[in-house]
Amino acid sequence: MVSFTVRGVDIELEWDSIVEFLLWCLPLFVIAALVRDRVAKGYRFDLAADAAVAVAVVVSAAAIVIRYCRHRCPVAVALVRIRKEIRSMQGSAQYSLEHLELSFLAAKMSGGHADAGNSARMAKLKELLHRSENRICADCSAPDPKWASANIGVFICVKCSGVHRSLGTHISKVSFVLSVTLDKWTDNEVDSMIEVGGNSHANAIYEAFLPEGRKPHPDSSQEERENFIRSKYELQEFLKPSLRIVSNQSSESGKHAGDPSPFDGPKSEATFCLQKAQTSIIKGNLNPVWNEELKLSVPREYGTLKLQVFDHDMVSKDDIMGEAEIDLQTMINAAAAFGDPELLGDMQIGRWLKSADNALVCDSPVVVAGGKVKQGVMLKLQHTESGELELEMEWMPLNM
Amino acid sequence: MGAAIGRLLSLSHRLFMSMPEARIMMLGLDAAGKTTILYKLKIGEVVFTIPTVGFNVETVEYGNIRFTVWDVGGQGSLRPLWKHYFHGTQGLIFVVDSTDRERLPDARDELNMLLNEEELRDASLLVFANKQDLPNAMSAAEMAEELGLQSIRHRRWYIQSGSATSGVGLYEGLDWLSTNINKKVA
Repeated sequence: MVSFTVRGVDIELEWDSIVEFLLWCLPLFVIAALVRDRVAKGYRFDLAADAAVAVAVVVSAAAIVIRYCRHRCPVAVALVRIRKEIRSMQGSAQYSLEHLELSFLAAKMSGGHADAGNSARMAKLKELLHRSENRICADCSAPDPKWASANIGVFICVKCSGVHRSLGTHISKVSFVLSVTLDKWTDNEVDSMIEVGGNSHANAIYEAFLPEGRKPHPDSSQEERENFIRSKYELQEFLKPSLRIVSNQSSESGKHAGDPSPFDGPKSEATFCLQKAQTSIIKGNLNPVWNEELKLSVPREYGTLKLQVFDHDMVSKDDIMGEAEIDLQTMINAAAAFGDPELLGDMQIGRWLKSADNALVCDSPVVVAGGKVKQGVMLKLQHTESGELELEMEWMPLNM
Repeated sequence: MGAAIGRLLSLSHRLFMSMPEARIMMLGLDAAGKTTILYKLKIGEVVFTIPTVGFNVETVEYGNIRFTVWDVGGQGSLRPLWKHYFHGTQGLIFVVDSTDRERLPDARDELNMLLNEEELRDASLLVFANKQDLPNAMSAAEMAEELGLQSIRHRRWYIQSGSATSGVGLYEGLDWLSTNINKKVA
C-alpha cells in the first residue's frame, strides 16, 4: 500500500494496482524508446518498422483507455477522485467569496424590507434571544445559538437544529426550526416563543427529571446529540412522571394526579362508555398524586373519556371540583395504524393537538416507548377556576 | 514522486476523458431534504445534515453524464439569492417535503418564481416529492395538482416521488434528467 498526497487530497493505492498500471503503460514506453532511438540514428522511412510501431501504439493506447474508462483500474479511480476533490475545493474557495456577497445581500434585503411590523416583531425576538439564559443552546449548551424551534420555544445551536429538523416527521412536526437571522418569522411564531419564555422555562418542563450526565456538550458526538434530543422532545422521557391511563382493546386503566383545590380530600373518577372507575381519596392534600391505575375497556363504538375530580364530603354528596374530557381517537387510530408496538422502536406515532374545543394544556403526543403505545395528557380542568390534571394512558390490545 | 504521478495522471486523464456535463440546481424550501439527497447521490450514505447556509456542490457521474449539482440553502432570506446561481443551468431539481402540507403553498410560490426566471428558461424541471417513506406523505399526483404543475407550458417537467434516506427514486429522477436536458460536451 502506498499513500501520498496530491494537492491536499490523500490517496492510497495498492502496490499491485500501480504495477498493473505500469505494465499497461510499458508498451508505450518501449515504443517511445524505439522511436527515439530511430530518430537519433537518423530517421529513414521503413514501411514495415513504422507500421509495426504505429499499430503497437494504437493497440496499447486503446487498451489503457478501455481499462481506464471502465473505472476498473484503481489508479484511474484515484485520478478521478483527485479531479473531483480539486473541483470541490474550488467550490469552497468560491464559497468564502459568495458568502461575503450573501451576507451583504442579506443585510441589504433586511434593510429594504424594514416594514414596521416585521422589525418590531424581530426586535421582540432578539430581545428574548439576548437574555442570558438564551445565550446557550437549550440542548447542548453551545454558546450563541442562532436557531430556534418555534413551536417548542427553545433557542438552539445549528448542530442541534439539524437534529430538530429530522424529529418526528412520522405524523406531524415535533419541532419547527427557524433561523433567528435567516428566516422571516410570523407574529404567531414570535408570540409562541415569548409565551414559552425562553430556554430555562422550556427546560424546566422538558428536563424536569433529567438523569445526571445525560445532557450532551457542545462537542458531543452526533449520535449522542440525536439520542438526547429525541428522548427529550419526541419521547419526552424527562417530563414529570405522574399520571397514566392504560387502555386495552377491552380494558383500560389509568393513574391520575391533579392539582385542584382543597378540603376534605380529592378523588378522581373516570367515566367512559357507561363504565366508571375511581381513584382513592387523598386526604388534606391540595396537590394530590394518586398514582393509581384505572382500567376501562374500549368497545368498538367508543365515545370520549370523561374525567372528574371530586372533593370527598363525608356528610353530603361529593362536590365536583372540575372535569375534563379526553378524545381517545388519536391514540386508538395511531395504535391501529402502526400495528404491534413491540415490533417498533421508540417513536412518536400520533399527536392530539391542543385546540379551542378541547381541554389540553399542550399538544399531547402518542408515542411508542418500550414496545407500548402511550399517551401523556395534560388537561385543564373545566367548569372550575383553575386546576390541571396530568395523566398517562397506555393502550394494550388483548387480541392482536 | 506523488506530485509527479499526480501530474502524469491528470494529464492522461485530460487526454482520455470527455463526458457530457450538466449543471443542475437543486432548490426547495428549507428542510425539504436537498443536502441529504446530494450526499446520498454522492457517497450513497445518509449523512447528518445541518441547515445549509451558503451552498454545497458536488459532481455525480451517472448514466455517462457528469452532473454538477448545486444545493443552495432554502431558508427564507436565502431564497432571493438563488438567482445568483442560475446562469448556465440545464436542469432544476425542485425538492418538496411530501409531508409538509402546511407549507406546500409556499413551495408552489417559490417554484412559480423560479419558472419565471429568464436564466432558467431552458432548464428542465424535475420535482422530487421527498420523504415518501413517512406515513402521511402526499402522493405525487396530489402534489403535482397542488403545485400547479399541469399548467406549466414550454418546459419539460416531471415529478418523481421517493425518499432521500432510502435512496428510492433518486436515480429514476436522474434518469429522467439525463434524457431530458440539453447536454453539452465539456
